[in-house]
Amino acid sequence: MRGAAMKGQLSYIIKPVSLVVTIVLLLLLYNSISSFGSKEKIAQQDLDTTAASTNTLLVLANSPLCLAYESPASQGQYGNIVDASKLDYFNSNFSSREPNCARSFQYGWRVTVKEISLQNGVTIFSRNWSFGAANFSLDTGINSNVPDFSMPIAIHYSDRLTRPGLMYIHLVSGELEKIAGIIDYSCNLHLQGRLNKTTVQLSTTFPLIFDKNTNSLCQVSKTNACRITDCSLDFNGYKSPGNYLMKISFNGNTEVIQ
Amino acid sequence: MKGQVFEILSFLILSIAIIGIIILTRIYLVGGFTQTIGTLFDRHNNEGVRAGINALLATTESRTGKTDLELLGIAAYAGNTTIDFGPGVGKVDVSQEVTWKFDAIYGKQRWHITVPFPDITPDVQIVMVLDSSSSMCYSVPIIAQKVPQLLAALRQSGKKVSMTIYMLPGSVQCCGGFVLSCSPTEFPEKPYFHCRSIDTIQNLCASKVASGLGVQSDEDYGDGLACAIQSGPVEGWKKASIKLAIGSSDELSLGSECGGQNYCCPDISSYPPAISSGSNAINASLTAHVPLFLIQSIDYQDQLRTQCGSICFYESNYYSDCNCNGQTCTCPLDQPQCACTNLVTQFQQGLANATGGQAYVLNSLSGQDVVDKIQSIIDQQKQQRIPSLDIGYPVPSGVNIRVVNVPVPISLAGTFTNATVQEWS
Repeated sequence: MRGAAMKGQLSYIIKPVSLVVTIVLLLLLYNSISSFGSKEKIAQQDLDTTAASTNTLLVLANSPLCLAYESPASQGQYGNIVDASKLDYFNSNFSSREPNCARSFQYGWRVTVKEISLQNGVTIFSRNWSFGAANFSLDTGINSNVPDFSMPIAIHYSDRLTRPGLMYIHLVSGELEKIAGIIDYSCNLHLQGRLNKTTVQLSTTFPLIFDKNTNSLCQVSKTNACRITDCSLDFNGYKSPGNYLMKISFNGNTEVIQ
Repeated sequence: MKGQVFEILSFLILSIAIIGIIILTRIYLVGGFTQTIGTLFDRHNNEGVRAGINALLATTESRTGKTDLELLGIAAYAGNTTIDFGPGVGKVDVSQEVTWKFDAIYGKQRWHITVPFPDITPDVQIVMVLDSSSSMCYSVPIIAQKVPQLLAALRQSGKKVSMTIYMLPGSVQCCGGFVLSCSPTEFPEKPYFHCRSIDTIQNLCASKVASGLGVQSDEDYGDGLACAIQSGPVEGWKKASIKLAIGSSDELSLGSECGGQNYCCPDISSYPPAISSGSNAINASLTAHVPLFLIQSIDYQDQLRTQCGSICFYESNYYSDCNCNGQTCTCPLDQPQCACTNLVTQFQQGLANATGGQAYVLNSLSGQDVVDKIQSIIDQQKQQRIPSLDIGYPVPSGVNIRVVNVPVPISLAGTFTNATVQEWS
């Protein structure tokens, strides 16, 4: 009689404990899988940004449409040898936007080239060039925190003067870059006669305005972050953060956004 | 009791299974994904390093305007990391040039480069300046006959020797018809053997000496050597070749007559023009890093040095004690030539010693003696080659090392070697 009562009591204790422990274990499993998923997402994002950074640097340094030095004699290019005169041109003509030869519709970037010289036995940065986007998405809009990348290059002045240098890229994938990317991408397709209208679902954490004076799309905050757009916009802006259905159409070469 | 044991056991099995799944997920899925991400990052880094190294090696050295890749090729050819680009540029240390650039880009303690140097036989380039006065009628025909044969034999044995003879001004006709000038009959032109009158380069040399006089006489071998070194052989001085200058005469530079007094002065200080001419040769030699070798010719026909002989030649005009006056005749050598033999030896040794060369005295007029002396000069030229260029920092263990192989063309030899660049972070 006492044995049967004891057995019943044990069962009452063990079953709830088992249930609790099982639930804890399942929660651990769920947490483990979900943390893996989020880690994967972050790593994937970092990898994408890394790949985009490296690719942009390689395109800039190796495409004759960008900075690559092209030998007039052989009309050949050489790996990572950039033309100093093209650097001068980019420095003065693309001081606040990316050149089309390496434009990304998903990322915004700014590149700084530093020439390295040896003076009195000390290595110094003897010259700088900089070009690309002037502003980036405001803090909370930035999706990636991958550090700046750099790549060694050779800066070609003449056949007898080529100096070493480093090309740094600061690449950002934020809301402003993506929204401006959509607008510019549509503009470019329209200019090629391939698009008349489209609709895109997007979200913004900052109000958006279009500054006609500078032809720039801006995130509005204490300090605005702006990007120059390829087409002139007819856009009244989004007064508040939120999700929007962006309707894009064209009136001549003006991009109409509602 | 049995049922409870089964309950506990099944719970334990469930727990172990869930924990196992968590561990497996961590190890295989996360580990595999991390590895994939790592591999992709590495690939990007590798591409960046490869492109960067190629770019760095394409940058130029400030004084020569040559790319580091070209400099490595020349260093591999020369078997030395220090390359001498002559008086205008000077010496370039390829190790230092590459080191500051790689340090600036990759940082100290972050890279290592190895470039094996192939075993290359360097060119040996010789300029030879010959006194063309009548007393050389014994030596010069032998040089003209034997030296091309010697060069041919040396080249056949694998030595890349070439010589340009610069004959001092004049055209004395020796007995037997040999003319002390660079006629093709006397000095047949070969791809590796040339003879030119010093007059062909005289203007260039005269502009480079302070006096503006250049070579002043048929015995001015000091200025002649300076001129020949500055102009180089017919094919020009090649990079990384062994360069030599040989002078041959039986007198002091500008003659042993003690400034026209027709006797041998007691010491060299009594011959200011000879000292000046010799200094020009030494300066040119030291500036261009071309050592001077002197061969003191014999100015007598008999084999005893203590006796002074005679010269046999065609003299169109009056010649000192021997009035040939338009015919071939044998004239006794005059006092300065005979008495100054030891002073000439001393003078020529002075030139050689000051420049890292050597002075020889011909013992006989047998062709073999001339050949032996010139061969001795060539044989002692052993280029100090190092087996490889090894620069940078010791490669650490336990770090991820990126290795890039870059072909280095050695254009001077028509071949290439591979530079192995290792980079770690």
